[in-house]
Amino acid sequence: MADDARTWRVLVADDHLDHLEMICRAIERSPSGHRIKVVRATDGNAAYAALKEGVDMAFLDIKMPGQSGLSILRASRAEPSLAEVPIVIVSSSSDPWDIEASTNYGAKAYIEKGRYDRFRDRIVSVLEETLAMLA
Amino acid sequence: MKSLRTKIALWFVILLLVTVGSLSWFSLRETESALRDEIVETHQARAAGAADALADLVADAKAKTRAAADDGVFAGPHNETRMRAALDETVREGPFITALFVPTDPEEPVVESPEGLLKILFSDRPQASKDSFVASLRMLAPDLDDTHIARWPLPGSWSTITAVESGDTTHGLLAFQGAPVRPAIEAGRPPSGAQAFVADGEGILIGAPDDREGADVSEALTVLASREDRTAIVVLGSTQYLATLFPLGSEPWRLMLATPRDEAFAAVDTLLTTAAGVAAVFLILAIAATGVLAHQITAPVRRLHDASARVTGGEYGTQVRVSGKDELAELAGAFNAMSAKMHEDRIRLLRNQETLERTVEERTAALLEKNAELEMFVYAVSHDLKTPLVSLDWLTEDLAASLKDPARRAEAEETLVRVRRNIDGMQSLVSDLLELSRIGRGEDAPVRVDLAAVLDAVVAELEPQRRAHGVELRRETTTLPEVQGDPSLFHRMLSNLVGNAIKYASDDEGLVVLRSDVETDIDGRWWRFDVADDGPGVPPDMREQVFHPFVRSPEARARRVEGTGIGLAIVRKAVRRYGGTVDVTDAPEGGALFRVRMPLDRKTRDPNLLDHDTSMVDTRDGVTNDGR
Repeated sequence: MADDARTWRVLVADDHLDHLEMICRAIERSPSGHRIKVVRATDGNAAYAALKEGVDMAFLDIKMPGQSGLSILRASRAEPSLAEVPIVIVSSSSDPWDIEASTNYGAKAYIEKGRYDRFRDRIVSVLEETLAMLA
Repeated sequence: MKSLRTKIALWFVILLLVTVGSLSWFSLRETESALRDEIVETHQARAAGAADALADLVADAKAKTRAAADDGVFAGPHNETRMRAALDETVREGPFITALFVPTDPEEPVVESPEGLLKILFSDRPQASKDSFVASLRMLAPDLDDTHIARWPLPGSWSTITAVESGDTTHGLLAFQGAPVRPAIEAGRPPSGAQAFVADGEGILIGAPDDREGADVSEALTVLASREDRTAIVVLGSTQYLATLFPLGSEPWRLMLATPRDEAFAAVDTLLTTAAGVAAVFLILAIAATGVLAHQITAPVRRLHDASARVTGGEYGTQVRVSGKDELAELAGAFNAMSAKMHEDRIRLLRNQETLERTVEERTAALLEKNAELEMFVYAVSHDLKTPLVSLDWLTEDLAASLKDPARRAEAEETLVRVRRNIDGMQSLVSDLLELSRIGRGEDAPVRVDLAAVLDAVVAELEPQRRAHGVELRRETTTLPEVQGDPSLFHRMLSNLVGNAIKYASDDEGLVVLRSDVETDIDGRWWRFDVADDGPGVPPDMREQVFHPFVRSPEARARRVEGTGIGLAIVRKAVRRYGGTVDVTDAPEGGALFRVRMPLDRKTRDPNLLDHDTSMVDTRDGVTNDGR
């Protein structure tokens, strides 16, 4: 499956441009060997639009202008065409409510923004696990 | 009853009256005694008068009888015709003494009894011999001699027969008729109701009122005879009498004048009754006055006692009825005042307590609110510091990796720029936080601030941003006052407002307009400063929140306008520090209109604002309003 010629479209949405950049770099440099096309969005509305255009999976920040990542998650679960798209919630929040809500709404995973090496490893592992499942 | 002193004085007057009354009573007793003596003396005098008068009459009758005998009225043969003639004459002589003379012819029939004598006198055959008659007389009156008058009690109205002699011959008998004795006594002017009794030396009643004929007066006579003044209270029948025994002239008879005691002493009894009545009235008045006084003294005391008990029981404010002006009334007044004061104090205490509790509640609520605000603030600060820290962590980690790969040099340089920007952001944030904190402390002494100069400096500083955003800055600020305050604070305030307007002005040939004016209303003079832009404005539901720390409008976030989220909080805090206000509305230019109003007179400072201790004076107009 690693040599599958397919290019995965992965959406990354974060209103904080540094965070967006670093998450994208982590995904693009993942050592899995997948061919990945990162789609960037800096607010909720753009993220939802990109989601509807068609992506294989998405990393969504919670706090974003327009729509929050959680509201996009919930809306997409109610949308048949999007219901199966794996969505990972990425947030600096360690609030248990956010984590629980993410799980309940059907997020693939919840990754808290923390020390970069751990955070990057987590991004990569979730990404590879998901892509492997999708493949 | 004006005062307790008066009451006590009156009390003494009453006591005095009782004392005087008692003394008068004793004096009265003396008067009564004297009166009694006087009555007795008068009675004795009347008895003497009556006795004298009676004695005169008796003597007169005896003389007439002797004279008649001497004239030979009784001489000659005894016959009824002559006797009657003599009798009639004698009767005519004296209205009250009937003299009867009987010839003492021994040959005449003997009179054996008074009844017999009467027969002799009044019957058709009164013939008796002298001897037998005298013998009869001697039998009846053994002591009879020539000069002796013997007594001979007779029934009916006749009292006594007396033998009268003339020479050697007993001429006849003298008889007193009892009833006519009374007029004789009346001649002595006895008191009305008095009765006269005449008795002989041996206590035999020889004269008495009609209804007293045959009464037994011997005991009374014995009592009277034993008295030196011959006067005493005696009992006749069942009635008490004041009686006096008096000799009847030279006759061996005695007159007893008896007046019913009640009648004799009527004056004394009236005196005593009247005195007793007056004394009783005095006593009753004294008792009544004492009762009234006692009630007047004790009733208020009792009322005070009851009221005190009620106050003790918690009925503060209990009042006692006050009447009069005496010491008790004063005491009651003082009590009422004390009770009312206690009531008032208690109410005040309760009110104070309520106020205190309310204040504590309000303070607690305010503290809780402040605490919540502080927690929110700390959370916001932490979040806003955490985000760049996370970025720095990630960026520096990535930078380290990039530096190892020469192919990623450009990327490393770009990462460094990001690092720099995050550090700048954190510095701004920390700087703004320090500024916000500094306004709260208010440590700098106010100095004169030329707002025109401050605005010039601000505009000059913001010139690069203005040019970068392509915004036109229009100043309509001809009237900028001079004020007292912290210059850096005014600088920061104006900088934040104008900087915000430049950031949010329309992207396409944006416009920012500054207007300044001094206006006057009933509260005084105000400096009004407007900052308007043609940007997206602030939605109504955010117009209050934008002045809270770390609150940024969705538009600001969407447009990625740089900022710490503290700028407007600093503006509001600075404005309030000087008693002013700041709010945001719609600008005629289409965007937001931030309007600052700050008081130029001390009196326009809003006392509800916390930071209004620093005066603002418009020195440009030469007007100082705070007295300095």
